Parts: sequence; C-alpha cells; structure tokens
Amino acid sequence: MRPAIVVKDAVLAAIERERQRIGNHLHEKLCQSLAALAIQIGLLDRRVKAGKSIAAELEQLSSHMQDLVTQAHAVSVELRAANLANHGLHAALKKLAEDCEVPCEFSGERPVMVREPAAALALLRIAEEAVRNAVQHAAPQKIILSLTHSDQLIRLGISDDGGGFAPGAGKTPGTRLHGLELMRRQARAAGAKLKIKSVQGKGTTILCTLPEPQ
Amino acid sequence: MRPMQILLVENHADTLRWLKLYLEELGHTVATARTLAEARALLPTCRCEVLLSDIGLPDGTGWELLAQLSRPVFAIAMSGFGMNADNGRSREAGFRYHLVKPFKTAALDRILAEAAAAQEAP
Repeated sequence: MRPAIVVKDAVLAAIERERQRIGNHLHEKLCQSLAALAIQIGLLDRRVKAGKSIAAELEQLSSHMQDLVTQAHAVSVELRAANLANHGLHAALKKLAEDCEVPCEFSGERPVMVREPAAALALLRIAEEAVRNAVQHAAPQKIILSLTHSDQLIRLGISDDGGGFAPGAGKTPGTRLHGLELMRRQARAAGAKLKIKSVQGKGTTILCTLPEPQ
Repeated sequence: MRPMQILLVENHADTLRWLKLYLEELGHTVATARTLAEARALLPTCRCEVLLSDIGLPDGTGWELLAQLSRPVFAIAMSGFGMNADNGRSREAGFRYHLVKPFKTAALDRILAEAAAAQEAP
C-alpha cells in the first residue's frame, strides 16, 4: 500500500495542474480579449474627442463584449460541469465534441443514463482529459467519442488518429502519460475499468467501462 | 505627433486589429506580423522607426526579434505579465518600455510622442 503522504502529493499536484490549466486558459483567452477591448475603448475615446461618429464602432464594441461574456460563461460551465448537471452525460459529451478545437465526433445511439452523479462526472472528466491530452500532445486530425450501454455495462470510448505514445515515456506532470494517470485515478474512484491502447504514429484508443449499479 | 513607420508584432488577432487601427488613427503607417517568422520576413524591406512587439509569440519572443534588427529602432515591448524580471529582461534586450496588458492607450500615446521626438532630434 502506498504511503499516505505520496498519495496526498499526487492529489495536490493534480489540483495544481488543473489550476494552472485554468489560469493559462484565462490568460490566453479572456485576459487577451480584455486587453484588446481596452485598446478599442481608447480608439473610441480618440474618435469622440475628434468629433467623429462612432455608431458603427459602438456596435462592434457591443459584439466584442458579448463574445467576452460567452468566453467567461464557457469557462464557468466547464468548471461547474453545468452541462452535465442540467442535461446529462450524453448532452455534456455532445457539447465537448462540438467545442473541440479539432474535428470531433460524438456517437451515442441513444441517451445513456448514468444513475450515480459522481460516476457520470468521473466519465465526463475522463473524456475531457482524454480530448485535452490528444489535442495538446498528439496533433490528431480527428477524435471520436462514444457512449454506449449494453449487458449492464456503460462504455465510454475516446479514440484519436494522432501520434500515439510509447508506454515507457515517463510520468512527468504536463505530459500525456501524466494525463493518463489522472484518468486511471478517475476511473478507479468511480469503480470503472480503463483500457488504453496506443501505437506510436497510429493513434490512441481509450475505453472506460462502468458496471451499472445493482 | 509626427507620423512614423511602425512594425507591430502581436499574435492575438483582436489585439492586433485594434492596435493597428489605433496607430493608424494617430496617423502612423503600420506593418503587422503575428509570429516571429512573419516579422523576420518583413525586416529586409521594413523601414520601421518603431517596433511595438508582444514578447510571447507562438514561435519565439519579442526579445529574439529585437536582437535580429540590424538598425536602431525605438522598441516597445508588450506582454500579459509584468514581473520585474520580465521588465528587466526587456530593458537588457534593448526595449525602451515594457507595457503590461491591459494598458491604457494614454500610456502608449506618451511613449509614441517620445519616439517621435527622438526621431526628430538631431
């Protein structure tokens, strides 16, 4: 059994990694957009002082503000797993696929009910981590998500056609294998099994199998 | 303020767009680049008197870009962070000022006025 102090450090490292990811996202997206907004307002101020009409620019400013609200809302939804809480795992995975920055397909023959909220959240976080991992480390052309239910098993699949990885590449935070370790922990905590198959240069397939509670 | 030739290097599309418009509103001629590679490609034909460059570019830094300029320019750095070490590094690299985003355009105005005066000085 691993010493408690080692487990605690790994959890703290995971929390810190997630905080950094959120911080980077806020910096790259929201903060940059707010900086652009500040310049836009400076331009409007100059035009007003020059006695020029700014009707068209004000409309653009309004549109820019709306984009910022949408960005902030998207971060909030992701953090709170709001799509999951409001619409279920099927809808949350569909949204994850829609919002992915590379082509991502979600196939779910019909909505699958995951009765335990904690298990549904774990599956969503596994899918999010898998997609993020693939986009950041594997340069895929396409990602496929699937959610199916048969023989009292719920199966979540994530596959990509990216670069794959070699099994012994290390577990440094921020690398792909560190993300896989996080997924394994999520799966274990939910009582699910995780199988990962990857061939260097040929893509990766992750299958998470969750038994239905009796 | 005397119109100047400005090379603007910024990878964030909105910031680039609005900064270009702002500088043109002031009467300056603006060439733009979104990456270190794009900026390097402009250097041979660019007669820029002012370099306004983001430090964090997708393929390098504004510090590297300034190091590759073979003639003197009035260089202004921009970044989304402003720790003393970064400001110090910009100064060592030859940047006259380091603006931390979001910055007020009034601050940019003052710096550009100084740049224009420097160009006119004998």
